[in-house]
Amino acid sequence: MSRPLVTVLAALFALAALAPIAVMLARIGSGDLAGLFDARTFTLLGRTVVYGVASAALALALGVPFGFLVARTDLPGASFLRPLGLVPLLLPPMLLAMTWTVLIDLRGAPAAILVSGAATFPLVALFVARSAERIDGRIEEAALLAGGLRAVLRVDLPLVAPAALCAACIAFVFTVNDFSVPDYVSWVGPKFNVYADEIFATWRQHSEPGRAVATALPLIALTLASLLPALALRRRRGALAVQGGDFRSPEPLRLGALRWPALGFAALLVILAAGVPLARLVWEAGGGQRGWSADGFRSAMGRALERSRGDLANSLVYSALAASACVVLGLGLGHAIERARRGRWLEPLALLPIAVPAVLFGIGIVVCWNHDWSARFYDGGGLVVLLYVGRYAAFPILVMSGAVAMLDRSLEESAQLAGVRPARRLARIVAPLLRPALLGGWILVFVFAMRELDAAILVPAANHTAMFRIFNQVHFGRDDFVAALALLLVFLILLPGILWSLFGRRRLELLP
Amino acid sequence: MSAAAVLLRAVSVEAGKARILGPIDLAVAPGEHMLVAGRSGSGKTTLLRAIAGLARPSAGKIELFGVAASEGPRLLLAPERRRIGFLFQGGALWPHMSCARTLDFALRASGTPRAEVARRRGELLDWVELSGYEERMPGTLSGGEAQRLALARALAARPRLLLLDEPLGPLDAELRGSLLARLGALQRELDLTVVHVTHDPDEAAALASRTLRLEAGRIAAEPREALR
Amino acid sequence: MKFLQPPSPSRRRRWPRLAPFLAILAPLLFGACAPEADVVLYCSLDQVYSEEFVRRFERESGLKVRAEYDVEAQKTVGLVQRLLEERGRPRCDVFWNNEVAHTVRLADEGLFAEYASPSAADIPARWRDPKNRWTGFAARARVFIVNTEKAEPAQLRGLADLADPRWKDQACMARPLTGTTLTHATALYEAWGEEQTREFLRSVRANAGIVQSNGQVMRLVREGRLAWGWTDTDDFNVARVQGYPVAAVFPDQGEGELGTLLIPNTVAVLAQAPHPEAARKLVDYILSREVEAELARSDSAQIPLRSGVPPPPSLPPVEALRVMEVDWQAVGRAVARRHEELKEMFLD
Repeated sequence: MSRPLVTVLAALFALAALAPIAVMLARIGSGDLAGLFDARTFTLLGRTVVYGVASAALALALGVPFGFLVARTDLPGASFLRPLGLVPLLLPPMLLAMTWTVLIDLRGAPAAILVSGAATFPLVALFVARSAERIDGRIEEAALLAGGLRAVLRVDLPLVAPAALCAACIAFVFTVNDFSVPDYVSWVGPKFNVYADEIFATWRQHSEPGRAVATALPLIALTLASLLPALALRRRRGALAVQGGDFRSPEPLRLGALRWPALGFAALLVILAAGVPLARLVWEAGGGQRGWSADGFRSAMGRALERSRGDLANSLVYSALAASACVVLGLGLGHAIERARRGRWLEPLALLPIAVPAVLFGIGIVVCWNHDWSARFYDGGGLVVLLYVGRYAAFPILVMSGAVAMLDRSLEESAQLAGVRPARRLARIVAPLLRPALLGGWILVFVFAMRELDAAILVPAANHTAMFRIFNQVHFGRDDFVAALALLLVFLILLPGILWSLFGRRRLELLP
Repeated sequence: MSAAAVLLRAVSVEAGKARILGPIDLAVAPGEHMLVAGRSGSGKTTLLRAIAGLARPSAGKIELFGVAASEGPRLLLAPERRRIGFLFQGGALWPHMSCARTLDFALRASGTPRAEVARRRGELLDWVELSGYEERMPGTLSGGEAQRLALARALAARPRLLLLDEPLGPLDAELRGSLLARLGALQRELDLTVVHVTHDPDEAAALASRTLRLEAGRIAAEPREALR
Repeated sequence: MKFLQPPSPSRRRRWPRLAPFLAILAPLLFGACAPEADVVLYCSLDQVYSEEFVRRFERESGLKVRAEYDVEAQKTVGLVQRLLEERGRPRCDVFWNNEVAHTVRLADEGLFAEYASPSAADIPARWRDPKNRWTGFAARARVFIVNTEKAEPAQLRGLADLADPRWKDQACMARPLTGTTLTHATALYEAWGEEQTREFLRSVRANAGIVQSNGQVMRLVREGRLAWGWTDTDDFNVARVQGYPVAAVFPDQGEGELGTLLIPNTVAVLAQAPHPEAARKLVDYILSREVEAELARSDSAQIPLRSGVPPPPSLPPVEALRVMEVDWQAVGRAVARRHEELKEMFLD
């Protein structure tokens, strides 16, 4: 791997992603760490860990069968259920909480775990589906001859386990960094407070800037502590296929009599986690409790589109630019993590932006870029793109490093010996072969950038994005407008994925 | 006397804490066809990779045609500048490039002017008897065809040194004969230096000027002297 | 074998290949920069209510305003954080805050310039900073929003009802760690003293539902999931306008009682405003009677603080209310300390 190229990309990543974090961490004074751990924060942290582990376990329990069923079996309608299973990932978990608490009378910790587990199961399903498709067909056939479907599952499960656990760790990270769900589901009865609440509350007070950063440290440490093992797990790929090597795609497994119960499970999951929240949005857009009507729905959608056309366009442009830039970073740095000497050091650094709270990152961006020389840039859309890149480049970097690890090394070596320069090898050999992973990384960044709010709120030009517009209206109480805009946003986020699944020849590779 | 084509002095390669090759001393004269035999796991492929610069030695010195190529773990000459043709086990063909594009890409990378690429590609394909296969993708080639395309690609960079890793492995008896004949012609006409790794020294004995046997990463014996 | 002969020498050219990329990138970078504005407004009053004023001001003055807003989820903190972080190079001219506690704090930190706007001459002095660093106008009141299908508004008298076991699990309030609820709790400490306030909040916490925000309070009550809650008049009015069966009860209005808390909007000119002249013009406009009247008519139903400006259709005029006496300077300074204490009480 070319050293100048990696250096340039690493410098860009440091500028976009690490500099804002560094300036914030530099604020911590020695006094800020004292008193960080009293009995109260330990209680909060402990509860947060239990909450995160429980909902990650639920995400596993739902995501492993779902992912395997839609990817590898003759489940009726699998190709339809598979993209729908992604929808919960695109909706704010809060929407799921609001919908479910209307349907069933669940409160407190069990409700929070249920909602978070359902909101993050698509991650597990996604990872499991991808790795299940990489099992060599011959391994399965051998098992099938030895003991039928049961034996196949016994062979396959350990093979997809690392990917599943990796996804569960990411689900854990998402869960412990969110406080809106636990808060919402405990509005009556004992309050279910988590550590993310503490961070949010501490940021409200500006008298001790260092302390606010210090308060975030335990959660950052917790996040990294759960992500690093996830990555280590990912390297134990076992018998998964290597790209470019000798590989036979596995055949769809026949479920036989289990087909219909399996369909029941998958369909129910999709209906509860995606269909019901979306239906609620449709209901609210059409008038909600004050009486639903198709006319009301049409006019709300029309109004949302008309009033926020500019914001939607901005969101699309910023997110697409950020996704494209991230893919370039991901290709270069993800490759370096796997192939360059000492490349592994990049990995924990790449994770850091996922681990820090959004508000900390947003303020870091302000501190980094609010200078006279950068004044025009600070006010413009470029800063929004930079923020998205900084916050989400980690995803394509990890996706690509995983994909490069699965790429037969000799494909690059043969090009190297033929005299092909490093950048050209990356562009002509690695990139085309890993195109699905590149596209997958692009879509991940696009999705998260489209729904980014918490850090973007601090950046001037992010005022003119769809997500900002939605949350700006929430307080206003115009629920029909908000719901209509949210539906539009979900549609726009899903659009690239839908187009790909309609016209793309190969499956998206989102698996790190 | 001209310098040795390949000169290894006390070279060893480690993976983690385990030593998988060496320490080894070796000299290959220009124009020589050296056979490296040994069981799987004896370090044959690692030896080739160290010569090519793909594996970093933990210690020792490697010289190619009198030029220092590596010293300890430091690469003094990058692999892409060593002018080595490497025939990988399994071919390592680029699955997304047709035969023509594969060769064009390799030719351009080694500095062939654009105007000459098509002609040279034609010559190479002709020589490996793949004329008419220009638009075929590697996935559609038979084992023998793929191996010949890989050989053509290895030669595109006009190597001084050809490293062969089990070139006859996937081929049936008839194809082996034809590939051996081709390798023999290369050597006769060009005086190309070849290091040829095989688990079955008998199959290529006719070509070899010397046979080296590796056991557990060390040179065990040179059982047969030149059979020209 | 001809193919192994050395090639004729060729020179590699790299830059021409990069040229198209650079050609695309350069305009993108320049396009990413924003155009210059004549005056920059940071506004934490909801965009839907305030952007119309911005447009009108632009039409009347011919100045170009760059307005940046907050969202409810951030509880004003987005803009306050930014003002603090940007103090090295202020880029904001005018701060229009929809509450007062943060304004007092920012004034204490020296972020605001003194400016006695001629438009504010008829606003009573209790709503203005003694040093003229900020001016209050158009206020929200803290009220009980009652679902009339679940409870009889006449049954509610004052804050004590929140702790009344009769309403166990039927009433709610926002967690007093942010926004107007935090301000209100801090004001209670000032009015009642340590012991009484702490005792009161503890019993409320045990008795009532505690939710994330005032908006949440409004939603739960308007949908009838809870009978009533403690929130702001703008939240109440939004539910009312949408046709939900809700009523507002102003707490503690009896003789000798505490009265209700009024939280005014505040507006201030930044000390190092990049465009001070235009900033003052904008403040004059925001503090005009017309804006206050318009805010009263809007769905956010802000109560005018000047006499003679018509009140919102659904709410009484300020003269008819018993208003809690508050020393805003003291409250603004105490907020940080009280927040710490309230965090221990409400976050465990």
